[in-house]
Amino acid sequence: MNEKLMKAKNRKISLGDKIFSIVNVTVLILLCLITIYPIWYVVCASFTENTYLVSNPGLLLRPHGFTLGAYKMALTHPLLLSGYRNILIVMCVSLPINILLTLFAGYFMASKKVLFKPIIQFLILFTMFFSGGMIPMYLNIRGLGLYNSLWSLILPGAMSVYNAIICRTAVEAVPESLTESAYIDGANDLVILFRIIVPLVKPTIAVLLLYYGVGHWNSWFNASIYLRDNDKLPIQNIMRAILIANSNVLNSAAAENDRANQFAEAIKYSTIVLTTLPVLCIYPFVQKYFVKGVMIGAVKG
Amino acid sequence: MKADSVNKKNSQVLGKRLVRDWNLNKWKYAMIVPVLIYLAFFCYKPMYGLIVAFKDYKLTRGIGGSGWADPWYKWFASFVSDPYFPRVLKNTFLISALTILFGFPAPILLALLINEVRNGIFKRMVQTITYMPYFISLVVMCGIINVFCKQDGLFSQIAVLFGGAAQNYLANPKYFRTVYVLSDIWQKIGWDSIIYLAALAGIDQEQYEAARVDGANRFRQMVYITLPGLMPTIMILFILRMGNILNVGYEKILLLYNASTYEVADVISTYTYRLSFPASGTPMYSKSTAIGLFNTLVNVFFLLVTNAISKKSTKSGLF
Amino acid sequence: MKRKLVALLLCGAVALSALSGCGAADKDVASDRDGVGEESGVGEDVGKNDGGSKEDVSGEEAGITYPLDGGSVSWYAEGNINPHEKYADASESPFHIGLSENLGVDIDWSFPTAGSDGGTFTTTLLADASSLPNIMLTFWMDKANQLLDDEVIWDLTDYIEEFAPDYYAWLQTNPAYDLAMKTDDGRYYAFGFFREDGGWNDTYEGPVVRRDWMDECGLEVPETISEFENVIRVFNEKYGAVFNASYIRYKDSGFSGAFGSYANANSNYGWYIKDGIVSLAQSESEWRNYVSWQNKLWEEGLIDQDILTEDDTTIKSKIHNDKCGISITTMGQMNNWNKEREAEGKEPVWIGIPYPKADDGTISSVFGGPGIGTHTTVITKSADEETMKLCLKVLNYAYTEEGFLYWNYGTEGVSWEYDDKGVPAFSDMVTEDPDTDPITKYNGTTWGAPGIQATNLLHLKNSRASVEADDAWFYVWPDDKEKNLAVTSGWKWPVGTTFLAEEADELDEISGNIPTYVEESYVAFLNGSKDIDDDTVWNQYLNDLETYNLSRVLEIRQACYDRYKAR
Repeated sequence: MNEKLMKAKNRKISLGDKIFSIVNVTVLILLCLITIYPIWYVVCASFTENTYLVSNPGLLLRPHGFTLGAYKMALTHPLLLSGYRNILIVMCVSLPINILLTLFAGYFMASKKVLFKPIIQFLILFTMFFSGGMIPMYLNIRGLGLYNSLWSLILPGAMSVYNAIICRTAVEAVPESLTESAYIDGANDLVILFRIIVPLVKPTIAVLLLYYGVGHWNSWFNASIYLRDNDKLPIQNIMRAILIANSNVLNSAAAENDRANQFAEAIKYSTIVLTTLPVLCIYPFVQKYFVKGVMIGAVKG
Repeated sequence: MKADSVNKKNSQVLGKRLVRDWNLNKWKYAMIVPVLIYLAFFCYKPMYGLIVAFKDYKLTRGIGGSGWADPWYKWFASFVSDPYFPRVLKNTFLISALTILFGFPAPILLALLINEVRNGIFKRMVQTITYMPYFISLVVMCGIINVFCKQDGLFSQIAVLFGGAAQNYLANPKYFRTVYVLSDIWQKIGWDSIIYLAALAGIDQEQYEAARVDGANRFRQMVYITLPGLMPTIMILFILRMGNILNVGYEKILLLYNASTYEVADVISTYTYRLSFPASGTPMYSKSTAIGLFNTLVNVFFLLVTNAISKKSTKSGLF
Repeated sequence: MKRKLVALLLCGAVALSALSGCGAADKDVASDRDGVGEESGVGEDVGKNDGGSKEDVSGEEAGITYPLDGGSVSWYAEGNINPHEKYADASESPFHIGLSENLGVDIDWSFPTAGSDGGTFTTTLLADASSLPNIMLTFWMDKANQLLDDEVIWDLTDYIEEFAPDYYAWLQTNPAYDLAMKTDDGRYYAFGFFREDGGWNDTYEGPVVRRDWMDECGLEVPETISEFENVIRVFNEKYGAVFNASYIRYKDSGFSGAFGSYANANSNYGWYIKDGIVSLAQSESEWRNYVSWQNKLWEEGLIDQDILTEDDTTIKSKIHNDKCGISITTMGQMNNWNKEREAEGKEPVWIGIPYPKADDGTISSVFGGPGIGTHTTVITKSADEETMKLCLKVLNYAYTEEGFLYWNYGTEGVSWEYDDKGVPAFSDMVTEDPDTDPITKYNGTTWGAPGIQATNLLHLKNSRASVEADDAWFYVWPDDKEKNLAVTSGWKWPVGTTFLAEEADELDEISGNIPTYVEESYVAFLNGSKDIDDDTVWNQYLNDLETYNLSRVLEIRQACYDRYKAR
């Protein structure tokens, strides 16, 4: 009797859950379709003949008249390789610095009973809202002797306060009992941070890595004024050069100097594929780690 | 004499407190030193640039060499008395409010939906796909929007399918905000959901077990366990977002607007962009800095108010 | 050496006459252009200049012989003379390598970095005024006074004759050039860009039409605005096509000339001069009539609704899809349209037609920039006096006969040869090069660079159809030089006006809203959301312009123009 009731209840729940799942999956699939179509459009457009592209706006369900012309043109750019190299250097040097400083700041802001914490925290948060602006920053970079060096891309963005706050929230969520017992065992804060906190906030660190990484990957403005030599420019600036050279709207000052832009429309799309591809290739690895982080949380529970 | 000894005692207490604090927290201070050095050199040092808002800045003479504005609020007054001021302020608030209203909950919803997916492969697929738009550069995204919004573009074709009329959606002031907000959500929804997914991982699984035993279905579990578990993260991000209420980036608007939509699309940042990089003439650095400062103060005001409300009602806040 | 110079001189003269010859194939227009060329005496001017500078060379010791004896300068160029995009930097670029060799001077080149915005880059450079490059090519003309007063750039008045004799001589050949290259109080401060025969190619933008459709419909080339409108209507009835254009091409002037106006949506083109009085075209009844006419076409569905968002790339979907048969565009774009049709195996059908006139045959203006560049090259105070003198010599080179050829064509025997008519022609190395714009690998005189652009170069660069189109746009009154000049440039705000420092400050402060307001009002009038024919609406518009300080801006501009005239 009792068992029967339980079974019925279970079935009822699972039916409700099933409907829930179906609705959920349907919504997500729809969302994916909406998200993917413009991207699919970009991929198709990058392989499509320019002449077809300009005369057929609107729907594009598959590449029309497969051509690699746009890719060839984008890849012949003399600065493409150095661009990839530079952004790699910037990332490899930046990311450890970014993560370290963010962990320090997050850990500090999450700590309690520190005499000067309020004032220091204020100093940190204050910079989120006030900044000197483009010209003072430029003069500062020149004054520090960082002009025309890759350090000018690494140091000014060494830590994001926004990310430090995310980190603080994550550290705060770690049960106090863990850190306290470590203190009693005589561990100092550095040990606690790296032995206890870091393993527990791994998912957050993965997110931070992604945030910082994509931030570096997408940024171009600083490089465009802090650097002088083209062979020091990161990839995004090169891509802009390719895109802008073919976009007369952004270049109206030179309106008279028309360029024969045979690939104009298609090259836009091939460059976006080229700049997005590396990130998408790396992404599954980060995501795997990311998902693992999520799993750790689940198993712990 | 008595007061003296009290003072002495006080300073002794203070000294003791300092020593105790140092003994207890020296490692913490050591950790924060590199952060402070960074802030000093790259945030505080250039901040003296803000004083140009109170100067008659001449690029050729530099910040030190330029004279003070007379009266000191000259550039603030010049902005406030500008006939365009009410319009750009209104547009900025409207676009920002709409982006928050629709754009802020969207990634939370997505995170909740993804969290409910049991099939690992599907889950990963959804995540990967929804993150992708974030990696598309603004120039290209706006290029695609332009193509889709044309009179014979994708949106018109869909509209015609449902009995509407073909039109250029970017030339019609009515649709500008919709296009802006929807494309914003499209680009950021997946990316912004990352942080919520990370927070979801931290929710205690025992609560779900208990709820299941109590017979709560998955929808109820979501509403009563998952959502409250996300609340601290949501509140922090919401406060931060409110602290950016007047920050509507100029890049996207510049790429999307045209003369027929200035009326609804012209915002503070596009206005300052025109001052900083005018089509002809010299950059108006003083005025644009003054507007930037005004912008910041309004933002900070909203941040503090939201923070206070949040602290009162949900007990989580930024400060 | 001297003999060579004379030879070059002769070749130059031959080149000029051959140029007229090559145009002569084209019936009326070309012969008329010949007329203009002779009457204006432009050819003689060039000759005279050559003679003058040659005398300098032979007569005085001051004449400069290249290569110089070493030295080095740093040189920044915003938006011009940058290496062809095939090269990572100047050290790989044939033009830059060769220039350095010919000058005997090391040049440390810098440009806005790839993909960055030139204006922003220059602004940030200027922020650190003490470490500017020695030579800078930028848009600084209207703030010259300020830069001179603040000691950012060198006042060249006392040095120019001695250390840049060829440039100085060139300026003396044409008072208009000389006028543009100094301040109101006569201080020289810049090296300019000039076109070899003054006015030619002023109008690089104008109306274009599909020849095949015209033939099919039995239409004549439209002369008046009514006939022009008729072409739009006939194309609409027969092909369902409408008028459309890339907005950045259309917004400047459009067909304002047919209505006695001077500009379309862009107020930067709206400052014009009539009888010595500066006015804003967009505040006058002629403009109102013009926009009202556009509104009529818009309401009838004869203007594409996408026109406000159309650019040179997106417009092509209309052009190649038979959705547009009449438009307004540049020589280069029209050339692209024809080439793309050919690539698809179709006939190249786009031709340029003259700007339409009013029905009574009058026309006030056609689009165009003057034959003098608005960006100039200056020498900054980061150069000490000796370096400054070296910079002058370096810049002077482009205005010598030898330098003129190098800057336009590159090295003789490498990138170019004289053809059988004695005219420079690019060698196979250039003409067979599959890259985009191979000429710019060897040539430096693109629009705005310091130097004189050879007319022959423009012919080598542009297709035949484009050159013909340009002639059709520019020679409005082929038989009357004076009248033509009045339409093409007589009304334009002159290049090289310099605001006083305090005027420039005030303009920055008060004039910022006018361009935005004019443009958004134009659009509202165009699509009918505001009725331009309604007097209350129109008066409100004028009142608003007043709120945006129109009167004061006109006052300042008038004063500036008067000073310019009085130079």
